[in-house]
Amino acid sequence: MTTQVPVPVAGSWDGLIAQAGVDGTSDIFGQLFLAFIVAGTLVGVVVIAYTLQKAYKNRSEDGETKSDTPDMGEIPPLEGGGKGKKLFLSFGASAVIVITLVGWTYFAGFIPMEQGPSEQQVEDQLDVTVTGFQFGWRFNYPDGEESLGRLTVPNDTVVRFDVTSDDVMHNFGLPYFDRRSDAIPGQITEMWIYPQETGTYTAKCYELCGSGHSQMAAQVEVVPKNEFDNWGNGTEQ
Amino acid sequence: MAHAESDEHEDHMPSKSSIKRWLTTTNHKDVGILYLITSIFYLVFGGVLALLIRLELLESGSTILSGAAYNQVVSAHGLIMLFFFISPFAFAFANYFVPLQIGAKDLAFPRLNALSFWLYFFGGALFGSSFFLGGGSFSGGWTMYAPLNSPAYMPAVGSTAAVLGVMLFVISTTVSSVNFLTTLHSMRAEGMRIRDLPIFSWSILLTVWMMLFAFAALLAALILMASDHIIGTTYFTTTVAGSGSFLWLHLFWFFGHPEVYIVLFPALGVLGEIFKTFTGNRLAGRKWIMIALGLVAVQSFIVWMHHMFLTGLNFQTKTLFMATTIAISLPFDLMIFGFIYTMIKGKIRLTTPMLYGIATLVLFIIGGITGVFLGAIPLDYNLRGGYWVVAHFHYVMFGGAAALVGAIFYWFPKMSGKMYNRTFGKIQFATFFVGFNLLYFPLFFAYEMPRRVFVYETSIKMYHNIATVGGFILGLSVLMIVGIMVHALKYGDDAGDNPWQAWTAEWSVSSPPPLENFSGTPSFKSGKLSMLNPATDGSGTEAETDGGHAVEEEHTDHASLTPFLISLSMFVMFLGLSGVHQNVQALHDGDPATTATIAPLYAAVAGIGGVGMLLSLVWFGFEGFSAPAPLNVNKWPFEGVEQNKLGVWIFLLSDIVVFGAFIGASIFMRFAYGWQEWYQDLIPEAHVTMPGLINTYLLLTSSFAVVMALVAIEKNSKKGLVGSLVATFALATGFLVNKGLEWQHLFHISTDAFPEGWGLGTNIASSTFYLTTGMHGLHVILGMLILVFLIYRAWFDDAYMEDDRPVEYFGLYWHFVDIVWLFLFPLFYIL
Repeated sequence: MTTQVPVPVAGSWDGLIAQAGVDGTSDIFGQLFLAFIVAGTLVGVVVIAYTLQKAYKNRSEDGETKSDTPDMGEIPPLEGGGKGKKLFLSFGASAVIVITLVGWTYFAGFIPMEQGPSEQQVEDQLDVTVTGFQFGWRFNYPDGEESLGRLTVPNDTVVRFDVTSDDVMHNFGLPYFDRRSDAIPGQITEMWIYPQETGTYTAKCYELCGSGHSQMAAQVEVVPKNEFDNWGNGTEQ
Repeated sequence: MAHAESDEHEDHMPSKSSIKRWLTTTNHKDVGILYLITSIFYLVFGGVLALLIRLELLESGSTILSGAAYNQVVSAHGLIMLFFFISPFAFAFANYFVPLQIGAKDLAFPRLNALSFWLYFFGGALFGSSFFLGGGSFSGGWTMYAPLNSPAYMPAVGSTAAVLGVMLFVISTTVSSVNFLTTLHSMRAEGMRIRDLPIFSWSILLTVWMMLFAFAALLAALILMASDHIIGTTYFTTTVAGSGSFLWLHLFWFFGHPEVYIVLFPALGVLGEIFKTFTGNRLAGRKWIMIALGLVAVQSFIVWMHHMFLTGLNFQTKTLFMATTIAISLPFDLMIFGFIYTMIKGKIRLTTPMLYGIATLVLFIIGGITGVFLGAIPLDYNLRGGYWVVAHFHYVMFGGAAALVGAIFYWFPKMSGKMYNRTFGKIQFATFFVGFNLLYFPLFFAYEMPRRVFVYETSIKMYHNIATVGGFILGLSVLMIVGIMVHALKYGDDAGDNPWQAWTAEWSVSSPPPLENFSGTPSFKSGKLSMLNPATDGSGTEAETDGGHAVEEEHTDHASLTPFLISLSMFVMFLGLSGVHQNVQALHDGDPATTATIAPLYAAVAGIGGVGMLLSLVWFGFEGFSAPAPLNVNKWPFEGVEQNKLGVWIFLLSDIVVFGAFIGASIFMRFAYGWQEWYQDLIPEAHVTMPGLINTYLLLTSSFAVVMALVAIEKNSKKGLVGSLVATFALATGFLVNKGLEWQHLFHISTDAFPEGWGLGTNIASSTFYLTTGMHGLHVILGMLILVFLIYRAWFDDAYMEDDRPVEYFGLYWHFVDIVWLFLFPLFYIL
């Protein structure tokens, strides 16, 4: 994936699996998502299959109901139809799965994502201010450069964004980097990415912001580091 | 019994074939049918909008709709489906079957029930008409995020009208909540404890408790937004530290998350009924299902910030709300397993309602699992605002609504007395289920695409095209429902009293049930339903009132036109209000001259509506009306609290939330601005303590005067009573005059800092001051209107000497209004 890579195929599981092998700091989403897909599909299939099997197995062949249904207008016993033990066993199992999965995302995903890569891991860092407006994106670089609708960042460098808005709420989303962040007027929201491949990607707006919302996009160029260092000197278009 | 056509009971009611009957009915079953028909209309309306969305998405960037029109369609689709379809659809069944299930003759306040319906009806009408007013309808999504929702970005008259339409609906839900809570807590037949409620009634009980608080928060948010549009306050355009946006996010999601369960719970209740009936079993772990539902209802109020994970909340807050979010998913696991295990050792009849029941479980399981993804913050960072969310919540909410479609097939025979063609039913189900999954499942694969856009990569075109096909199949299935029901009404066989061999109380009476439900006084004391004094046919009940005055005549009218008239005049008033402000442009590119001529026109319409509302409220107060008095009821936990009093208390609870939201909003905005800077920068020196202090004395004294009125009644002194009430009125007048002088002065000050005066829109401090104390002032005015009514009745009709309850309940309200002032005074005058 060097140049002219369109936004990766949404929902392409192949792409996700391929990404899952990349460096841990940059592809947390891909790994977690994959794990959730696998676990979720498994649980879903088992529970739904069990439900359907029970419905089919216990079906009434003659169209009649049971002979011993409760009396009309009965005050039901609190325990209802019983089966409490079975209920709690399955509940316990499902609780363990959910808590394990989400707990894992907390420690393996959330905490590293919030902290971002440390300086030992990645030496180079770039801060960019992203401002959403009706209907486009403005990027401000530390050296005073400003660019409309086109974000250029160096490869193999942590890029930290301060996201805000000029007017209404927007959401700065970088689908290729699996990261979105609200752009709120008067407030700064932080996020970071760690590009590891050069290429051209798309930034989109993920919050309804008015009549031009659908077309509100920006181009994201990840360029080799040395090229980026020259870029600030007036070589950009 | 099968054909106990209600003719013999209908002597107080116009016939069902006359329009008058449907305009004036207050019977819970009639109101249920009105809800059902109206909500299905909105299902079709919202569905047509959805199909427009699907057509637009056939091609990326297609131009069937413009960007602005697409946003309107998306927004209206969401608002209509959530507000004007799902909840009213569920409450059609709640209206019809809750009284039957608990052994009551009607809801606690039948006229208020009719009022709820008509407010909903006209709220929807106002929302619908918003498309045709200048500039089109609201276009900020159903979440209505700020500041896009403010007039600076959405100046059209139609957008304000849409907001006011939703507000009418919210008022309707508040009235409904009070009504259902009072009913469920004070009208259960003897022997039915709260824990004995059938699962559907239990789910409704929890739903209305959530509604009471959640919709109060939404009401406050909508009032703030509407006042930005109509009187020019600046809540949501304030950007200091993002405060306007955040205020909306917090208020909206504090409502919005419980709302998810508000639309889901009735469906779960229906699911329980259907599973019981068609498996022939009691619910497995009934107690645990009920507890799980209760837990979710409470927890629903502490998860709202998980909708804000991308707004830059701090680490601790995100962690906390991730934890509460996981915690709220667990009771659902328990419920789902309970439903599944109910099937074990059952004898399952795979009728249309049961197929819907099983389908709902399947859809809800898919929706639930995909929801866990969103609860994991690192995943939410890349899923929020995209199609994963769209697919997920349609599986949860519309999946839940599938149970409500099942409810039509379940209860239609009871409501109409006719059985539909069962084969048609199953074909309809298959169409629905196939259409549903074709429509929503592919959308999970489009998870990288933002919601509410119509531009996408060609690589996901296939998913959208499958979804579009599914959408039309689903649309067809909705039409099939209507067709099957119409067919059944015409050609269906008689259903009999209990076609499903179910055992909840609604199946013990004829189909359709007689006007007064039971031929006697129901009791569950023996452990199952039985009738006390079955012969008397209900004529032994005493007349009871629901807010008007006691009626002495034997056969008073059980029909009333006032709910319709009140709602109609509120519709007219709100329609007018949507166009009165100069900021509101008649057209998107409307020139100021047009605006200047149109605004007074709108003001006139608002005035006509206001006068109409006042007149119809007066009529409401004086109208003779009898509601069935409950006998032999079980009132835990409110034993010893009379029914009307309970209603007043419950209403005040929701009002506390409304004021809490207003006060909270003021404090929130001030914190964001800087507590001291707020005082230094935004408030003129002319804003002094004295007027507030005087008003505090006036109000406290007026509360004392109300107490004196009750003492006078005890001493049997009519003059004392009237005198005390007049004194209360006079003190309240003093309060308003003093406030008016204060405001006039502040409006017209001219200092260096505020050369143009300190008006509503001058800054956020003036906005919070005028709006919050203004809301309180409106409560004072409302109290004064009630006072006029009380004084008139006490003086001319010698009322209240025997029965002082109306005065006592007015006192409750009045003291509440005073207590609110005791919070407002320090907040706006001292701190």
